[in-house]
Amino acid sequence: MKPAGKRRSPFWRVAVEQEVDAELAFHFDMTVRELMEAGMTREQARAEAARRFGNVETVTAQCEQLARARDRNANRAELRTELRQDVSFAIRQLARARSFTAVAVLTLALGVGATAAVFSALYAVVLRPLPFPNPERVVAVQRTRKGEADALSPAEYVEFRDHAAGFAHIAVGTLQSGATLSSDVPEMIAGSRVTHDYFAVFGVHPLLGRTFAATDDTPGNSHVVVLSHRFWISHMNGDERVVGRSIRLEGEPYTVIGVMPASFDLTKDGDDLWTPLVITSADVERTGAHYLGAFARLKPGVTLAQARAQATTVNQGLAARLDDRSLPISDYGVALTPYVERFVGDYRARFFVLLGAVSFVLLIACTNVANLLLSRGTSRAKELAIRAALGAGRGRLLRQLLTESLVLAFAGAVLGLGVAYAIVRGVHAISPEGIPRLDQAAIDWRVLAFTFALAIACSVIFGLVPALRAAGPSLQGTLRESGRTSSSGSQRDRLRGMLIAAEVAMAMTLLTGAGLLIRSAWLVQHVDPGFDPHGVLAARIMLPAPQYPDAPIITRTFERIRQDAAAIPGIRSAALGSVVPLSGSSMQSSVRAEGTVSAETSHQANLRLVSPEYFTVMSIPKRTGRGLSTRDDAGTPKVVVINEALAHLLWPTSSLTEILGKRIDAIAEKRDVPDFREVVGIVGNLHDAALSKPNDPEFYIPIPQTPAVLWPYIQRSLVVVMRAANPNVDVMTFKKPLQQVVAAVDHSLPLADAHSMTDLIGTSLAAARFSTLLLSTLGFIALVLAMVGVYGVVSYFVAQRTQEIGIRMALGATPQQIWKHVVRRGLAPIVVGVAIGFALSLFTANVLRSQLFGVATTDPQTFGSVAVLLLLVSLAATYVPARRAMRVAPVVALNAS
Amino acid sequence: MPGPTDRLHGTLDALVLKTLSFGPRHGYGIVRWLREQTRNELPVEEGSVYPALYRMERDGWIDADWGTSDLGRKAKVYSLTAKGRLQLRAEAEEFASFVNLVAPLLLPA
Repeated sequence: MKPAGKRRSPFWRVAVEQEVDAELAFHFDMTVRELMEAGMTREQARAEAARRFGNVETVTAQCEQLARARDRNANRAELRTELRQDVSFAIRQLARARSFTAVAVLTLALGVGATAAVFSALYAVVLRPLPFPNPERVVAVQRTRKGEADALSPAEYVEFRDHAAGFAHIAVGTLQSGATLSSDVPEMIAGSRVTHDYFAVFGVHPLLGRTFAATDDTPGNSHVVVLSHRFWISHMNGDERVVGRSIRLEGEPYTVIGVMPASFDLTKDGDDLWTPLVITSADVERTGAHYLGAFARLKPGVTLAQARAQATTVNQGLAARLDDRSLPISDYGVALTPYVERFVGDYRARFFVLLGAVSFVLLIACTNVANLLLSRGTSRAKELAIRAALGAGRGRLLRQLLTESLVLAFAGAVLGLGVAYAIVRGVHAISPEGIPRLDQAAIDWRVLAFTFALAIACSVIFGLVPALRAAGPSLQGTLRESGRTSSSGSQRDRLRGMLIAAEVAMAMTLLTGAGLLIRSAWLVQHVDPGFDPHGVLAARIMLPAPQYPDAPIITRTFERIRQDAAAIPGIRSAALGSVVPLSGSSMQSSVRAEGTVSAETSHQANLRLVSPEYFTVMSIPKRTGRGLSTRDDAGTPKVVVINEALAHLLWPTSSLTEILGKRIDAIAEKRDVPDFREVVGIVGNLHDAALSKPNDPEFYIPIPQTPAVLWPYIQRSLVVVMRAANPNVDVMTFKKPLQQVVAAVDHSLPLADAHSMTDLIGTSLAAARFSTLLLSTLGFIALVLAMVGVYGVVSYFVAQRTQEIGIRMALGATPQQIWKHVVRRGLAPIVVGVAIGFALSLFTANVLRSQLFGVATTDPQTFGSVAVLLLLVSLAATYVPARRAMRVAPVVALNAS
Repeated sequence: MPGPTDRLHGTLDALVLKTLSFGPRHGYGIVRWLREQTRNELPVEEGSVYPALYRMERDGWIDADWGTSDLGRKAKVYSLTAKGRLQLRAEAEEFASFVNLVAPLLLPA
């Protein structure tokens, strides 16, 4: 390609039509002249010339078309050349202003990098489609009573399966955790027992073998297992001939029929394997047992609302057939939740809050760079004016200045990718386990595209206004003033002040949000859990059904393990319980006081099967009555210990001592026969779901009085809790002795998830702590960036006013007066920014409402301290330049020009 | 443009390039030179030279500028570019090899 600049000589600005016409006319005239010289008459010559030429119209049309294409090419080439010129010019300019470039690029890298990192996490956790076809059509199905959602009963499942027309497939499952003996060592696995349609609901095909067929979830055929990819790799070494092999689960042999693909391992803690769930007709009879998690795939074309309406009708039809129904039919409903929503949970909100926060940081970074460019624009005004005088149009100058911004932004983006990579690595290192798919966050092509799109957007945000200013119409004025501080300076100052105010307002908003979260975290941390978690180890043990078929042997075995555990040196006491608080799992049952009608007065409460020592080991304070005793066994009257919260729910008007001796109906084995238990004691409340949630109503039943049907539900499992004699010891050191104790009882029994209670509390707070940490980090970055901005602007102000300050001092102003003058100029936009930030925070704090605990969204302490912090730090940022102003020597200042 | 013109395209281009290899000329000058060289037997209409010129200009083989003709009239003057020089060499070589290949087969007709 030849240089395009030459082509655009003014001669070429003639229209294509004229160009072609002129050229062809010239040809024609010359031919005629030549022919006439050869002796023809004018008419003869014209006719001959036309004949020789051929079809003029066709030739003209072809030439015009080709000429237009030529001009288009030339224009494009010119644009490319100019862009290349602009870019190389911009790079030279930026290379020359090294400190400016360094500060601008670093600032942008920080902003862009943080934003890219948050986007990468947001994409991995929230936006990434689930790896199965039409994931939006998969829903979780729950039944509702008066709007309260609950798991399905077998009867409800069968009814939905057979009659709810909106579901293409529906499947239910329960947890299947237990010991496996795929190798020699017993090991706990976590899987699910699911009805055969489970994989059809998700529409995922196996990698090897097959998934369940309709016959697999029928009695006698159910000893088959589908493995997850992860389990297949870790336990079967990825052996392709695994199908047909047998593994032992809970002491029984299961035949491997298939392996799922890796993509079906949605999270690290997903199911290890799946076995068929058999729903017998006896199960269907027990309409009160709600323990089935249900998933369905909607039929094509059926909306969520339609499917829900159909399922509700089916559910109400089932309820109408119940003889002991106590609620009106309209209270029976169905809740359908898109699976994605359940899977992502409230992380969607959390991550979008983070994205919002990080975009504030990015905006602050952009504002800083805009300010830098404004200052630079002033010092470059002369250069630009000369260029304009030499014929560069305003558009051309603007384009060149924006190219400079773009180069700056791209440099920032490249460096920002490094920052993003580091942040993502850091997040992987500190992120809690529970955030689904966060471990899959990576810098991939999406993040790359996002980052560079961001860079382009940034370059416009921070580049446009300074460029408009710099290439503005006042250019000639600049030349005339020969570079003296111009009157438009004050206008620039005002713009700078506005930018600073905006920065401070955004920083204030971020810091207020972070402050509210930090205060919430502090308050939650200081919530009394209701028990003493220090020095307590909890470990679940499951007894396989074949060797431990009935309640007496289960109870006996656990009691033996408990006694041996209590005898471990360094352990003060040991107890048994079905679930420990804040472990993330719970078992609930409906409870009602004797003498009330069922249903209306029943309440959901946490059920715990415990040994008598439980209250002592956990340090749960007794309020009145007695605890449980070893004499409370299968042969004695049924007793129960309840907590204050349940006492108030059931008997709101009675005092605690009045309640002793009253009876409650709970976990009845037969639905229409109440199973009364006498309240023998009342204990203190505790937090079970989360420290930030209200106290849960609880009731405790002695283990020997557990209804026999419950054992299979809890898979014959109990938690051994042990309190160390020394509360400061690392209780995890007792895991090994406990394993030995358990192995001595039965060498095939594994320990499942041994945790210290303090760790469990830590884990329950981890997700909240994580977003608090991230938001605080962003708030801190915002603060630093805003202060860099304040410092830069005040420094600039002082530098520009050196002369003015010198005159003032020469006229007798004291350094204190100068100091006041500078600080006032510096602080004015900050005060405005804090005021705006205050208002903005009132608005944005609402976004955080669901993540707050114990503080109002308008918490005056948080707002106040953030405002004071910002003002103090701003004052510090203006201090250095203001000191410099005070020290200006009048002579130096006057000579400066 | 179907048939014979198509086949002539490459040849016409090569001829025009060849003409310009002796120095810049306007369109009329090119046509006259071609006519003289072919003893008034130019196998195409004169007009078809112009689309060829515009096409080669678009492709950057030749360059155009407004110049002045011998008689003082403004005329578009074409000159060969480096790219066009290469193209001329390529076309000439191709034509030579074509002739070498085909001539022995056809000549004793």
